[in-house]
Parts: sequence; structure tokens; C-alpha cells
Amino acid sequence: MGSFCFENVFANLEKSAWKWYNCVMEKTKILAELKRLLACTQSLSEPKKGAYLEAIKYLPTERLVELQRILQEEADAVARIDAEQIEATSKINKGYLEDSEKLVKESEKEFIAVEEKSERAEGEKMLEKLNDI
Amino acid sequence: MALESNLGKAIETKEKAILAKKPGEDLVDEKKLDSEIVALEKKIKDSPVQGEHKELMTQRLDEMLSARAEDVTAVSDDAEQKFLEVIAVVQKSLTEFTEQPEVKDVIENIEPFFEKKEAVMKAIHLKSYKRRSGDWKYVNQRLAGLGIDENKIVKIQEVLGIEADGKTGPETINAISNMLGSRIGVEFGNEASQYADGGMVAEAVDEATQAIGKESEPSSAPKETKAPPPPSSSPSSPSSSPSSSPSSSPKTPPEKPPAPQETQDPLAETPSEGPLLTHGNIDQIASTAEGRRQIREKVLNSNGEFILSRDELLYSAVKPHHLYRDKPVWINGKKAEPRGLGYYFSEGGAPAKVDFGDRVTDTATRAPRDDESIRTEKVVTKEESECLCFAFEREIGELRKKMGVGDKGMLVDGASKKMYIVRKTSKGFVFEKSYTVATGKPGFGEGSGSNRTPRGMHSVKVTSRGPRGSVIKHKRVQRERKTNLRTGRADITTAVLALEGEESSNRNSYGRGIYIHGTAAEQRRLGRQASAGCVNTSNVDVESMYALTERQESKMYVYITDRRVQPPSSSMLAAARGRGRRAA
Repeated sequence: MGSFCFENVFANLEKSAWKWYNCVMEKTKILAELKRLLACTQSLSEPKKGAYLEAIKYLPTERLVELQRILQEEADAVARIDAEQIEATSKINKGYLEDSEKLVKESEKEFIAVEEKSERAEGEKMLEKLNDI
Repeated sequence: MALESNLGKAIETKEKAILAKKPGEDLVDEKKLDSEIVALEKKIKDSPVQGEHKELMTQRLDEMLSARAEDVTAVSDDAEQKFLEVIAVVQKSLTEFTEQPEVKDVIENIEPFFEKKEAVMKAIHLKSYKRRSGDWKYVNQRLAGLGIDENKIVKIQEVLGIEADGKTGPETINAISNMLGSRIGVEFGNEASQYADGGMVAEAVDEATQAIGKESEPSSAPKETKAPPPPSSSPSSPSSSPSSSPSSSPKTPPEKPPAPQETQDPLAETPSEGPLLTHGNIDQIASTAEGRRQIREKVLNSNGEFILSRDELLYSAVKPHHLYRDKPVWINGKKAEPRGLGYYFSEGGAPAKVDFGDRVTDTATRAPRDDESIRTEKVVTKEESECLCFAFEREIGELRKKMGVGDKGMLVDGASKKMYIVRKTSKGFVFEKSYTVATGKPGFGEGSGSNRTPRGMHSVKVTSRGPRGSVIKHKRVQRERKTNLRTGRADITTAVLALEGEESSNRNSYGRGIYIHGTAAEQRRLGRQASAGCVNTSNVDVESMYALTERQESKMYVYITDRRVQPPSSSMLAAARGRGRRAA
């Protein structure tokens, strides 16, 4: 009977200990994540960031999850905007590179033609002069 | 704590996703574009067409480049707009979040302490001083002048759950001090700046003591009551002071020499290598604001080497056993061993403990490490300031139009590669500090894609910063962190102040991505024409510039000039003034 009771007690104790451990681990993880999110958020001024960084130590886990969600949404949205900007800039750059190469090629052709034309004209003039002599 | 940016991770993932979506098509970033432009320029150079036609080709290319810059600016503006919309939504959500009673209670009590951080720090140091000196009358008088509500401190101790007797005691003071101090850790990262951390706290202490000094000068209180007692008079918190070692620890207090003459300035006589401040002269030096400024300057310029001043030791701002934990240290050139809360070394057979006036280094003969940033900050003296005002009259005239009285601004002297912090006063302008910087490699100019530093009036539009050495891309802090700050790759590091042109000629500066930023190639770049148009500074300097910009409520104006000026010597200026006076 005694051993039966002790087994129950130990089982309950272990259960409570695991429960407590999981709670602590969960909160620690959320806190670490929140610290990272708070460090890179741009929606809060520096003093406010400081206040939040300190305040999260005293807030219950549900509130922390809520705050994490808000800040994660910001991080995702900003990341999306950044990625879009990178993509759009890359497109412009690519367009520019293609156009500029085309421009250099065409200009080269155009200018070589102009130069050949002017050389030919000069040669003809000289020939005319020679003929006159 | 390493600040791993979640944002950085997300961007990286997104970038990868974009690359995965379009196999074979690489993103053309600025770097790739630059290399392609160089290749094109080479192609034009090698072209068989005549020189005049080459110029025409370059001109056409420039026109296209300007059009591209406009497109990029439009994209950037569009992204900025979207970004602001997101921020507005998040701020609304955060306001709703803060309105919840359990959150409101905590935030309301904690937030005022960060808003009035400097005043609270001063109050904390005054209260620490009160505990040590028992000079209640003087301290209460000074506390009243700071405008700190005592009830607020009582409220915060309720939130922190300490000292339930409702009084502000040493535990509360320590808790608040740690809380404010921990913010410095968060901003810089723990291992990022073992020196900067001490330095910032020391700065706060210095400001506090200077403020006390200034305030107390006209008062009739005798000087003896103002001076904090020597460290041996036991600061109350055992964990926070290096001097609070176990009472059984042996100590050999040095002999106190006779009080020095009032007219002497011991620091003025000391050579630049930094002879030790001793018990004999420290009292005299620290008794004047100028002396304290000189001590501060010495600590700032020591770059990894601390000369412990009395204030720093007393207020526990510099804790050598914390700074150099798990590392051997050299105190006054002698190797010391950690023991208990302090460091001890053998001197003539008897162990001695680190004390104020001691020089603490982490090597016997100190050579700079790669991860140590070069501090180029110098305080401009009154005479130098006058000469500089004379030399930069034209530039100051431009700044005067924009800045309000009391505002600070920056003046970049492109010719001598110096940046000055200037302050507008009711009487004129004062040059406060100078830094060594780098400017654009090809020189100065406003053309898009020219890699030249734009001239004229600018203002700081966007700021961003991470722990020292962290890489910044697109004005966002990345996870990557540079360990070699002196001779590393020249990335944008630590902090950026993105500049916006205020004149029609430099309107494109923001679109061109002109920043004031730290670089990981300090040794190669500083003092030279080396950048791609930005103003490069050292990593430690850009931190103070960032802090200055963030502190200032009004716009931070930056004037960049490439005018070569020769500031007159102070004697020339004095002579000119004398002539003026005589003529009048």
C-alpha cells in the first residue's frame, strides 16, 4: 500500500516537474524570439524598445505570444517589401544592362559608318585636288 | 548576446525563393551592375571609333544611367511607402496591445525610465553617492533639480517586485541601474564592445559628475562635501564594485603624497603615452570640470586600455574583473591573477588589489587587435574651434540657415578627410568633435553611378544600426558580423545614416545610396579617397554619430564640402583681431 502511494506521488511529481519545465522552456523560447524581433522592429522608438524589452520579463505567456504575432507580421511584411524591391531593382538593372550594351554596339556601328563616310569624302576631295593639278 | 536579425533571415529566404523561381536568371545587384558598367566603359575605351565619338557614347550611357537611377528611386519610394503603411498598421496593433490592463500597468511604469534615461542615471549616481557619503542635504538639493519623480521610482520597484517597504533603497537603485545598463548590452551586443560598454556607462557617469560640478560651482557648499570618499569607504553593493572585495583580502594602500599646488595641472604635464593617475593627483584633477574632461578623453583615447579613474571605480562603471573575466590581465605592466571579486598581483611579496589610478590592459605590451575599431574621435579645443569657424565661414553660413539654436550638425571637410560635429549657439557656432573619414575614390560629384561624394547640404533621412561589426544591406541589419574591423572587406558595417540631398544639385543622393557608415576596412580607408561615394567612418565613431542623430529631436544636417581651406593658427587669429580692434 505504501509503495503504491509513493509511486503515485512520484508520478505526479514528475508530471508536474515536466509541465513546469515545458512551460519555462516555452516562455524562454518566446522571450528569445521576442528579443530578436524587438531588436529589428522599426515600429517602436529606441526608448519604447527598451521599455518593451524590460516589460516582456513581467508579462504572461499569452500576451507574449500576441506580441510575437504582431512583430512577426511586421518582419514578414518588411521582408516581402524588401524582396520585391530587390526583384524590381534587379529587373531595372538587367534592362539597363541590355539596353546599354545595345546602345554601345549601335553607337559603335553608327560612328564607324560616319567616320568611314567622312574619310571617303576627304579622300575624294584629295583625289579631286590631285586631278586638278 | 548576438543580435540575430529575424528580418535578415526572412530576406535571405525570400531571396533564395526568388532565385529558385527563376533558374538561370541571377539577380543583378548594385555590385554586379558596377562591374558590368566598368566592363562597358572598358569596351568603349578599346573601341576603334575616334575619341570625340567615344565621349558621345559615354554621354549617351550616362543619360541612360540617370534614367535608371530615377527608376530605382521610384521603386525605392514605392517600397518606402509600403513600408510606412506596414509600420502604421503594426503601430496600431501595438497601441491596442498596450491598452490591455496587464500590459499597460507594466509598460507605463517602465517606459518613463527609458525616456528620461540620462536624468535617471544622474539620480542613481547621486543616490549611490548619498549612500556612501551620507551627504543627504547636498544630494537632495541636486535631486530636486533633476526633476525626477520619486513616486515613479517607488512604482517601478513595485513592478520589479523588490523592497516592499515602499522606500527607494539600494536594491531598487541597483535594479534600475542594471535595467538601464542592460539596454546598452542590448544595443551593442554583449561581446561586441567590452570597451564601449564601459565607455558608455563611464560617459553617463562623467556627464553626471560634470553636471554636479557645474551646478555646485556657484553654491556655497564646501568642496569637501562634494568629493566622494575614497573607494576604501566601501560602496554598499558587494556585487557591483571592484573595491568591494572580501574584508579578509590583503591590501596595500599606497601612500598619499601631499596635496598638489592649486595652479598645477598634473595632466597637462604628463606625456601622451599616459602616465598613471595616482592617488596624489587624482583628487586635484577630478575636482575641476576640465580635469574630468581630460580623464574622460584619456579613457576614450586609450582604445582597450583603461586608466581607472576614481569616479569610474567608485560608481562601479568600469569593473576590470568583469571586463577581463577568464582572461589574464596586466595591471601597470604586471601580470595579475583573478581572485574573488578583484584582480591581485604580487608586488614585493605582498598581494595588492587593482585600484583607481591603475592601468589595466589585456596584454603586457598592447598591440591593436583586428576586432578593435579605431577611435578617431578628438575633442576640438576652444582655440581650434575659433580657427575652424573662421576657415569654414561659408559652410557654416549654409548650416546656420537650417539649424536651430542648440542643434548639432555635421560638417564633412572632404579636402582633409575630417568630419566635425558643430553646434549652433546663440552666439555663433562651436566645433565640438572631429573624426577622420573617407570619401569617394574618384573625388566629388553629384552624378548617378559616378561613385563620387556629393557636395552641399544634406539631412539624415533614415538611420539603422546593429551590434558593432554587423553588416548592413539595404539599410537593414544582417545576421553576418565582421570580426576583422581594421583590415577586412569594405562592407557597410555597424550603422548607417542615409543622406538626403537638400539642394537641387544633390537631390539624387538618397537614390544613389549615399550614407555615412562604418567600414570593415578602417586601416585602408580612413583619411583617404577610397569609398564608392559614401562617407566612411570607423565602427566606433559611427556609433557615436548614430547616437547623436537619434538623440537630436530636430533634423540632423550634414554639409559636405570639398573646398580646400587652411584654418589660421590661433596666434594669427588673435593678431588679426588685435588689428581689427586697433583699427576700430
